[in-house]
Amino acid sequence: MAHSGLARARAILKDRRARIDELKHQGSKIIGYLSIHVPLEIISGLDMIPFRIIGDIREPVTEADKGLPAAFCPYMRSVLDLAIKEKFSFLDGFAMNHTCDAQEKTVRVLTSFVKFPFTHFIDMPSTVNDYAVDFYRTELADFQHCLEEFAGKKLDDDRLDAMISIYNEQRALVRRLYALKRPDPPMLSGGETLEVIMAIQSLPVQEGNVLLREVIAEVEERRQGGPEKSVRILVWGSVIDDPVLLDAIESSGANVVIDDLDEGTKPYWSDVAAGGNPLHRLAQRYLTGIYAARTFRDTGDGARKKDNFKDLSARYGYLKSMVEEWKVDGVLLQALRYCDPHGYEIVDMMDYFHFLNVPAIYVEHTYSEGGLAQIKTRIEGFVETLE
Amino acid sequence: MYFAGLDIGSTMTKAVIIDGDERLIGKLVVQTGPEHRRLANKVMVDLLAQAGLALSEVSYLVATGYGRVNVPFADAQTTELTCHAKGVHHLFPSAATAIDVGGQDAKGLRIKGGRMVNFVMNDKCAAGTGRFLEVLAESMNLRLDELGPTSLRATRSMPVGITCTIFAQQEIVSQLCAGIPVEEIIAGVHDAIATRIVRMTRLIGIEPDVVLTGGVAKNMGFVKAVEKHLGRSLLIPEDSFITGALGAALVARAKFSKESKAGTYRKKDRVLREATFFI
Repeated sequence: MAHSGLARARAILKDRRARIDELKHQGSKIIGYLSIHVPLEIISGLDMIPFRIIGDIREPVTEADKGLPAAFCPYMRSVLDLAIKEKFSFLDGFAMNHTCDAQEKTVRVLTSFVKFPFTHFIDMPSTVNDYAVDFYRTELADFQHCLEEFAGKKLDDDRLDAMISIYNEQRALVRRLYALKRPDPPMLSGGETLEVIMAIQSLPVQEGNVLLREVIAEVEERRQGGPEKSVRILVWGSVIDDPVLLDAIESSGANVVIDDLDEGTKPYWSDVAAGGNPLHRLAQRYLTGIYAARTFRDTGDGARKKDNFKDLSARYGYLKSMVEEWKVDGVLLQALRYCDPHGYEIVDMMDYFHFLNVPAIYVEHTYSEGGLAQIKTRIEGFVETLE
Repeated sequence: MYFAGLDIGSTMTKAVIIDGDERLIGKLVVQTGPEHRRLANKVMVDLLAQAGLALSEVSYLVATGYGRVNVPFADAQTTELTCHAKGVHHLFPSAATAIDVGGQDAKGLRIKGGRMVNFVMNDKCAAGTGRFLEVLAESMNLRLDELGPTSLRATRSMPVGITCTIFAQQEIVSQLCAGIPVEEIIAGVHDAIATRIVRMTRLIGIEPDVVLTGGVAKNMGFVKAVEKHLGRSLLIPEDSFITGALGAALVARAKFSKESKAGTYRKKDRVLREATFFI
C-alpha cells in the first residue's frame, strides 16, 4: 500500500537505506555526511546524492575502542562502531567537516578503518569574521574541485545557483512545517516532526521537498493538534536522531513545540542569500548563517566587558524569538556526556534564560536507551515545576 | 475522605493514607524487591487493613518513585521530586532546602511557596547514597543501624576516596588490614558521602531551613557529618522514610480538589490484582 505524508516519513525511517539503495542500483553515487555544515548544494549540483550519516542508539558499541577512548563523545563512538561493522560501505564517498574536535578526530580514525572511493575533509573555522568566511570559501572551492574530479564533470555557477534555490525551497518548506506547531496544542508533535526531518535527510533534495509538501497538506487538514498538554517546551542541544529520545520528553507531559537541533530547525532556519558568487554565499550561510555551539560569536569592541547581556543576546537572541513566537513555557537544554561545545554553553545559556525569566533545565545523556528512565524523572520534575 | 500516596523507591516502598484534614491515618514501609506491581497491590492491601478502610474509600491515589509506572490502580503519577518537596513543606513549613538520601539516589530540592522550584539529582552513581553504606556495613560485618552509633565513638575520621563505592570498598579493606579502627573508617565514609551530598546540593543553592530525609537520615553519624559540612544544623522528620509518600498523598488531595472544581474528576474503578511479570 502506498504511503503518503507522515506515514511515508515513518516508513522511510524504518528502512533509511531503501530509497538510496534503489538510486545506487540505478547508477547514482551516494555521498555520506555527518555535519549539517557540509554544503549539500555542491554534492547535488554534481548529480550525486547527499545522505546524512547517523549513529544507532540501539546498537551496542563493541568496536569503537579500537580507535577511540572510552571517555569520548558517545555519538562519535557509535558512528565509528557502525563504520567498523561495515554499515557505511554502501557509500561512494564521505564528505567530512571540522564541526568539533571529537568529530574531526573521529572521521580521521574512521577513514583509516574504512576505505571509501572518495573522501574529503573540509576545514571549517570556528569564528564568523570576514577572514573566516574567505577561508571557508577557499576550502569549499577545494571541496568542489575534488568532487568534480571524482564525478568526472564540472559544476558551473548557474547550476550551483539552481541547487541553492532548490535547497532554499526545502528550508522554506520546513519553516512552514514548524509554523504549524505554533497553535496550542501544536498541529504535529515533536516526535512526528523528527520523523519528517530524519526522512528528508535520507532522501535526495527534490524528493524531500515532495514529502514535505505532502506532510504540510496532511497536517493543515487536521482539525486539531495532538494531545493537550499544559507545558510547551523548546529543546536545544546535541544530537537527537531517534524518536525514543524525543518520546522520553513528550511522554513526560510536555509538547516539544520548537527545537534548536541538527535534526530539527538548524539546517533549515536560514537561507543562502541571493546574488553574487555562489561559493561565497554558501560559505557565508554555512558558517555564519547557522547558529551552533561550535561557532564562536564575539560581539566585539570589548562589549562583553561592558554588558554581559549584550554578548549573550548576540549569541542566543535567535532563541528568544523562538521562545516568543512559539509561546514556550520552558527550555530543555540537553547534551551528550563529554560534549565540550554544547557543555561549555550551558552556564551562559542558563544565565541568558534567567535574564529572560524563562525556566530552563540542563539534562545530560549518554546516547543509550538504558539511561532514559533517569532523564525522564528530571524532565517530568521540570515539567511539574511549570504546571 | 481519604487520600493515599505510594512511593516505590529502588530499595524501600513507602505508603501513606491521610484524611481530608491532612492527618496521617496509616503508613507502611517495606522492602521493594523486584516485583513492583505485586508489591504495590500487597502494600495497599496491608495498609488499608491497618487503617481499617476499603480501597473504594480512597478518593485519589498518587504513585511516585522509580516504580511509579507500576501502580495500575493509581490515579496519577508524580515525580518523587515534587512529592518530597510537598512532604517536607508539610512537616516543616520553614524549609527552603531539602536533601533526600535514599537507597540508590540522592536529591537536593529548593522549596518556595510550598512548591519545588529547583532540584538536582544523583541517580547514576551509588557513591553518596545508602548503597555505599550497605556495602560498607557488609565489609564490616555490621548491621546498617550499627553504623551510626559506632562512628560516633571515633575521635577522628579516616579519609576515604569518594569517587566510587567499589573502589572505596577496596580502600576500606586495606585500611582494616592496616589496623585502622572500625569507627574511624565508618566516620570517614560518612564524611565522604556528606561531602558529595552537600557539594551536589550547593549547585542549586542552600538556604535555611535545611531538612534531611530518606532512610539514611536515621544514621546519626551521617547526620552529624552533613551538619559539619553544611555548617548548620538539620531538621529531620520523625519518620524520615515516608516524606515522599506523604507528599504523594498531599498531591493526591490537591489534584482531587482541582479536578473536582474543574468538573473533570472521575472516580477510578480500582481493582487490586496479584499481577506479576515473572510468571
